[in-house]
Amino acid sequence: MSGIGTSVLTERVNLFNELVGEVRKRHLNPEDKYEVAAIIESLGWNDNMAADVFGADDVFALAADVWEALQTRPLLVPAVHVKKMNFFKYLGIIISSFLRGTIFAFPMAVSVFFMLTLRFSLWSYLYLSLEYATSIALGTILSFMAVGGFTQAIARRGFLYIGQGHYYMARKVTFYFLKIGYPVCIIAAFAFLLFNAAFTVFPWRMALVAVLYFLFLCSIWLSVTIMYMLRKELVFTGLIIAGIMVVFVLFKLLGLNIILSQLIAMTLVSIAGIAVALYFFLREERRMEKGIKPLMPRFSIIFYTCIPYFIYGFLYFTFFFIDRLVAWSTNSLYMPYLIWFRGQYELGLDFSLIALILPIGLVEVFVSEIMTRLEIDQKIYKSTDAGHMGRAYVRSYVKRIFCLALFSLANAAALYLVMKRAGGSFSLGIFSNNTTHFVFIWSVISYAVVAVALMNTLLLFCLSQPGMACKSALYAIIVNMFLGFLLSRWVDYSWAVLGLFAGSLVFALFTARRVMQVLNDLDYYLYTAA
Amino acid sequence: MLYSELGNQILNIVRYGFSFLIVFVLWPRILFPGREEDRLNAIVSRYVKMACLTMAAGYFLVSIKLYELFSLVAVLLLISAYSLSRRGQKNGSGFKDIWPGFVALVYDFFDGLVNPLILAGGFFKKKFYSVKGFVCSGFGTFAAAGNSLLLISVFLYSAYLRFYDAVVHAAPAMSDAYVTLAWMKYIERRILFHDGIYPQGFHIYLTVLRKFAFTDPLYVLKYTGPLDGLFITLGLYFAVSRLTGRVTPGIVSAFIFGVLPGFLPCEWQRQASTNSQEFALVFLLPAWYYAACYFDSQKKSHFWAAAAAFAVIGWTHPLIFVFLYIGLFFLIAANFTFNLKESAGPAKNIILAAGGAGVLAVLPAAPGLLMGRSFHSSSADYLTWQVKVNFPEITAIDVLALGGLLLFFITSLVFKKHKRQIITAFFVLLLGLSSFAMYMTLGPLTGKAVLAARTGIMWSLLAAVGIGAGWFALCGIVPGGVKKQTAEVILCIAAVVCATVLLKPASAQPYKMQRDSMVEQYLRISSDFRPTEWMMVSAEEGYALALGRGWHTMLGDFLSWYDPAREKLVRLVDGRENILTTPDIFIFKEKNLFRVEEDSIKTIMQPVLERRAEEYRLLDQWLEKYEASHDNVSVYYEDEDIQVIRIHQPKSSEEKFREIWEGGG
Repeated sequence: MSGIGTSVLTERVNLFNELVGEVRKRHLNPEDKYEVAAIIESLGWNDNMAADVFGADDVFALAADVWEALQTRPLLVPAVHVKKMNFFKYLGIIISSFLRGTIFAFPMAVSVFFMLTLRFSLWSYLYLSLEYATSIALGTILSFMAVGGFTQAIARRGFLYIGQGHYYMARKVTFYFLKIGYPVCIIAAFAFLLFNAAFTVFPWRMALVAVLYFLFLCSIWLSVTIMYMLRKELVFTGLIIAGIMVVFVLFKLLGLNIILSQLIAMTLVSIAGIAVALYFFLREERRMEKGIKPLMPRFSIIFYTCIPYFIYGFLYFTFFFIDRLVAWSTNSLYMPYLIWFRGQYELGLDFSLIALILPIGLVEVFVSEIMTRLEIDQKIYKSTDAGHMGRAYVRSYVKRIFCLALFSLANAAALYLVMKRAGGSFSLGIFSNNTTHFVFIWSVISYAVVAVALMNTLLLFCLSQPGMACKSALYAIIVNMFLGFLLSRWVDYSWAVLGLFAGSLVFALFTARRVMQVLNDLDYYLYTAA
Repeated sequence: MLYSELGNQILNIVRYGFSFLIVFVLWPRILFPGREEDRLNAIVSRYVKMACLTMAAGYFLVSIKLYELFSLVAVLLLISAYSLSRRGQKNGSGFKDIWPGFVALVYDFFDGLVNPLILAGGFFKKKFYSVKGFVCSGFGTFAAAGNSLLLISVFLYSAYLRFYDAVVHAAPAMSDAYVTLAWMKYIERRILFHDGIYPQGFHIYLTVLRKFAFTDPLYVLKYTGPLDGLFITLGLYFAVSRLTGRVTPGIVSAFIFGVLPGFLPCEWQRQASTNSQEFALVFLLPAWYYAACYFDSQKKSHFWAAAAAFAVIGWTHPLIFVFLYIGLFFLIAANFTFNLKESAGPAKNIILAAGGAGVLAVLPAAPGLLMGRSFHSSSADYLTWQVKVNFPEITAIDVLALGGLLLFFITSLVFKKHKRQIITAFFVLLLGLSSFAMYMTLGPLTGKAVLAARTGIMWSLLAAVGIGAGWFALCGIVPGGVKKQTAEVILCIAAVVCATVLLKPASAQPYKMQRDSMVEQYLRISSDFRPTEWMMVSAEEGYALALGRGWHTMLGDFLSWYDPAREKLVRLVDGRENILTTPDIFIFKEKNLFRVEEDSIKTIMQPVLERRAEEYRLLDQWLEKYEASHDNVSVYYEDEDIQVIRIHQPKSSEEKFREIWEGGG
């Protein structure tokens, strides 16, 4: 009797172990006993079978036993042996990352080239009156700030879908953001005009020019984002060149007013930008494998997931422009209007922006390298070695950040020397004017520091920590604005650039601290990012 | 658009009103969220506190050279954030508590669960019903409707009397207005005590309004004076109606000061001008009222409102500050007389607040003195100026007011009212009698012009209070209920109508220092030409107008500095030639010399007018020579009295390029 009993018991134990194994095959790490019950049912078990074979009341009772067993048995996953990357492949990734990082500056480089040769570009002209220069500068700054959030949100969500091969969804979500972005820009423009109608902060001629440039530039930035997302930066550069050619024809050959010429050209560029983007989307969709089109998530979900990126986009552009607003609002003696364009300051900042191009390329290289390696290391490192892995990444990060900082500073110094040697019309009097020279030096250094901050930010984004980047950007803006305000009012308006420098330092230091925090607890943050 | 055109006035009044609404009505709701007894009390209390806060912030920011719209808004935002977070800690209605609800609303919007238009509609519907309820409560009974209509009429008429000049005439009223305008602009340029040490609180207040109104400072100057006069009237209504607990006596007091100011010894034409003294008066009655309330209630809200009013007065006008102290002395005396035991604590706090306000009042002067500035000479001279003064005649209003004050006190004793009412009546009596005595005797006995001219102001306020209090006492003697209230209102309407018809109060017509057309031309130039790109060449009055917008040169200086025969307008400065490159120069010439119609300054102005006549003669010669060798002169404006000549020197495109990219910021 006892022998029969023992053998039945052994059989039951074996069957039970088999069942546990089957469940684990289906799901390595079920959430709870209810998920286990669902798996058991999907394996063909029902209440009667559970009672007959294991004497359990029902499937749920059996699932509870299996769940208990799963908790006591260690989960052993074989290590994945990932092949080390081929050197040339690795080099290829590095070069393509670098080019991709620097290519973003092509439209800017093209604009600068035409400014130096033709004295105008798509939305700027060297011989404008101060009023119109103020209006256009204001329109430009506001356009960046207004669409900054949308561009980040579009890029984030769009990249996500494109990465998964869902061009249809990428197009849907992109145009959804455009559908919100355009009305927001138009509402902002109306609000500005309404406010100006009530208070006449600027004369109408200035306010209207500011609003028109604002609207058209918003439209252009939105189409830039789509091109960037679709990796068609060169196409956009082509559109910019075409736009400048339109301005050339209208302004130089047909003798139209420069502002009108630029507005017409910007209209054409933005329409063409959207049309080309739509064409690329549809082309990619046609190439896609046909199947079930997934439904779009609820808009509140899209909003929830995109809002940190949206906020960051706004803060990022605000950080880049706030020192200009601080400097231009300084009341030297008589302040014609609330904000007053100062070319000497703008010139210094414009040329120093070149200092960002190469470091951004390097940022792209470092970040893509770290993330590629991380993808592999996650599978190689044992869970018990998580701390070790974190420390290794901290060391690796510190090395790269030092490397980037040195490279950025060397690049800044090189730019300064090249500009100084070039002289003449190329440097547009940067070195002959004390204010421009002062702004140029400090902004070049600031942008070198910003490059470090941007690498940190990109890492935080890759590790799904946009909130950390937002907070750092916010602190940087506060420091930039506060210090710039004090110095510009107490010393000279051009000292607002020291606000930019201090803000850049804060941005770099705070983001670095956050990256270290994430890398030190890498396993936790990778788990939460998954 | 001409200054007095309806469209221009509506536009600028709307801007001014919007600025006032934002800074002194809406923003204080966030900053000072405490609940007051009633709506008017809340508005007055918050206005007083906000005026104090903006002055403190203004003084601080000007002294550290950071005063401008952005810094002011930043300071106010920081204080608002602090106030909201404190409120959140106290009663769970702070930012942190509101935020989750807002976020949920946004998500619901994205999911199409809520319609913002419907939400907004619901909000406005709720507000509409709230306003409707408020209006209906004011017209619920015959007496209430009568009182409401009477109150509105009194205020509308008071506004007409004060605003008429400000709306019709572009020229600033009285010579003081130019000083106020210039000082206001100096504050905007972060300069304290430019012409000597003098309280600058009022000028800071004006700049705060201007910063949010984005209008020409002239409009702020023109509207603020009349509005102050109206606010003093409102303060009288507020204090008397609250102290007596009835609306009609408040209306009577408001009527006396608001509609019949010409019959009070208060130089009422000044109310159509803009002066710091009248501004300080706005806060005098609320200061006494809140101090009296504090003795009664010992509530913190009353104490802080009183303390804020003390500080505002201290920062604004020394004489009104003395009046404040006199009032506080009698308030404490009245409380000690009838309620010594319970008054010691509040008296100590009120004395501390008044002392603190005194310290705060002189505090801004300290850096001025350290910088070597002396006290404002004209004001200092006025304090010591001796004149022959006759004893004022006693008028019917004086008699009525004195009678009213006595009756108010006697009835409070006879009818054995509450101790608090007896103290109030005694305080008002002491203050009224002392101010009357000062008005009657101080000027003639001391021979001081300042005392002779200004002690009447305090008595004017107290006379209005006295008549209102007397009305209250008289009505209190007559027994009755609802019918008595109806009869009281009918009687009050009849009295107000009769007095208005018989006395025919006319709008204020303060004297001017220049023609309206000159100011209108300044406004036209200021709106048509970019600031800093034009220069006004005119007599002294043009300086305050052009300051902060364009450049200004005195006509005499212009004629002596620039040789009309030379190609460019060149001036020798320290042996170097300085070319005048301002693109547009406007020379203001009077074809018929404007003569000031004010006896007190006619003699002072006589040599000035003679000098101007000579300058205009020389100007004709200068222009003749200039036109002979230049073709850039034109007549910008001309009428039968004035001519504005424009010299246009456009910038070349190379100059414009250099201006943008190489300097001129």
